[in-house]
Amino acid sequence: MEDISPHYQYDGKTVISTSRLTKAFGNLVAVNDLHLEVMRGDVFGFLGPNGSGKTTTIRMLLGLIRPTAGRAIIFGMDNAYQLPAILQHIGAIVETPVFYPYLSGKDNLHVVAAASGMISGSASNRRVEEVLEIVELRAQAKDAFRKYSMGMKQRLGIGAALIADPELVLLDEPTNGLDPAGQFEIRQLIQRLAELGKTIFISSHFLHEVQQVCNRVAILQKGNLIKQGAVSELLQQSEQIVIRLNSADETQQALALLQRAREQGIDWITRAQIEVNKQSFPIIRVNAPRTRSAEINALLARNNLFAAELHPQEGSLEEVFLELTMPPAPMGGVRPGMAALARDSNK
Amino acid sequence: MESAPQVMPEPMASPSGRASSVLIGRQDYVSVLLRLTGMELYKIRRRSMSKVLSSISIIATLSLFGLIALAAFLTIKNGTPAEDVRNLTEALRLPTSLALIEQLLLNLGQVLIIILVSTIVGGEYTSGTIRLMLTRGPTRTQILLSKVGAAIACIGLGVVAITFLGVVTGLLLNLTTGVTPSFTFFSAAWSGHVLLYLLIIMLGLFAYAMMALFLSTLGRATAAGLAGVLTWSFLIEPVIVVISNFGRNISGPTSSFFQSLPDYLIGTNISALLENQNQYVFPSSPVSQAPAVSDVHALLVLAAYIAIFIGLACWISMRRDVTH
Repeated sequence: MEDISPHYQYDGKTVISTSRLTKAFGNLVAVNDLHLEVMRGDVFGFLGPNGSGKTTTIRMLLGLIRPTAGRAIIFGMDNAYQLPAILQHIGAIVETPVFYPYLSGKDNLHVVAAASGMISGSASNRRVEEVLEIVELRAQAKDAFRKYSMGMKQRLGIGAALIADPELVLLDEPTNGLDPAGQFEIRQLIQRLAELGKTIFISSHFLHEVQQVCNRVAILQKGNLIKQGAVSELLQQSEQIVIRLNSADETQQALALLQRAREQGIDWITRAQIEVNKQSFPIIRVNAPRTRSAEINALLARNNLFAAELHPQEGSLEEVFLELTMPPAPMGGVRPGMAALARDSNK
Repeated sequence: MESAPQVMPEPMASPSGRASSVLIGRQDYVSVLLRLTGMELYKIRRRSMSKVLSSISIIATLSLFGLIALAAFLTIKNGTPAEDVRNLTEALRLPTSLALIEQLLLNLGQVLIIILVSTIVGGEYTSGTIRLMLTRGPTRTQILLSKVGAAIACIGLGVVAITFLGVVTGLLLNLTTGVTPSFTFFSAAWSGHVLLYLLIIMLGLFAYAMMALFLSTLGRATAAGLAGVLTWSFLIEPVIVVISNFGRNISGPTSSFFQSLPDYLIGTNISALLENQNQYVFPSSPVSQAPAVSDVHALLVLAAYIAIFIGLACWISMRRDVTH
């Protein structure tokens, strides 16, 4: 991506665009040279291990902290100069939602509404009631915030983010502290918001959750952006074909054959490695599109290697994430297979 | 404020629009500031702390005048001459009751307003709600100035309420002493000077409140503002006065430097402004010697303190990264 020049012209489609965004705390570079692009209508997943710089990035986008270098353009405006105008279009929760403990949930929403520029009165009351309904806190609306459970706090945080009906909703770990039913409700809420044309930016550790609701993702590691793209494309990249042959000797021969095939130009085989399955049989896990299963079977058969089992496997964001954030294994190497562990854990 | 770059694209209109129940008010600087100030006052009103502080000030006012009335009652029972009773109960009646109210406001009131301002500023950092406010649209300066506005409203309301309560309580308790109050001092000019007198008290409280605002912002905690201002007003200022007295016993340029130090303290300048009003507000009181500092000097010093405190608090607030 090229730098955004001072004469950047807004295309009307890009909601967030960062250029060389960097934040250093002393010698620690929390975010390094980040180029992000979030398009209108995206449900954008922002992934990364703990300490990878996700929250720092969100804070920079919201103007809570100043970048050491680079810039963030949101709705075509530079957040270093036009932050108040930008924030009028954004609803956000950053980390654990914090509210005034002595106020009720409802009163806290009134305070947030006033801070968001909303006129107090009957319209504001109606909106607060609507939001309480959306986040299902109507029954606890008059309870003091300090009495709320973690899940209720999280829901109130989402309610506060939605109070002014913003176009961009920035959610930092929105399902933290929620039980599975609560997580499901939040996913449904996110999908409903996306259907309304809102752009959603979610930072989350829950990869299966991101896979279910997001159409695009960015993966951050140690402050560096290591992948950004459509979820469907990433999943395609992580599709695998699992082959079991009748003996360990044949398994080695098949692996060598696949390695040679790749060297000879079959570039859709990106990786092949031997693992041991749950039944203690050696298997070959080939990183290749599922649609190539028949071709692999034919290749083996032409070399008198007949698979006892051959089945394609769908990719998961968790595997993509682990593949990208774990140290790489050599082609043909035998590794414990963190991705395989992830796959097994998903079963 | 930072200046915008030369070329900046027009803000995008939200194509999806907002829900019909979301009515956004005027977004000019003053309207946002007034809305935020109203919000701050709403939060103050809903805190139990503000109810406790109000109760303390009401109870203290009633107790102070009640004690004087009680002393008068006991004195009358002992058959003390009427003139002595009149002198003893002078503080229950106008205009002397204003002096008692002034002492109450500048001592207890000062502590209470420092607690309030330190809490509304430092509390945002302690609880983390500053993040909530900063991500809603208002600038950091507007958020800080809204707290200044709330402090002004609380000081104004507090001084007027306590003055009214004190004057009325004093006059009501005076009925029990049998001394007829005299209102010969009352005139339009006197009312004007009383107004000035109350404004000076408010200015004094405001100067210390702004010190609390600055220190709470600097220390990101209620305790920073509270401890800092109390230490300053009840320890450092008296110590400087002592140093000044020490300066009278030595010679040379350091002597005049030490002696002039108190002229630049908040407390000294508030006292000077009040003393300059004494002869008008309390007509029967002996005319005091000209105070060490003039009204103009005192006002300039106080204005400088207030400007420095608010300016530094704004500067820190704008420069600071809001993390945890």
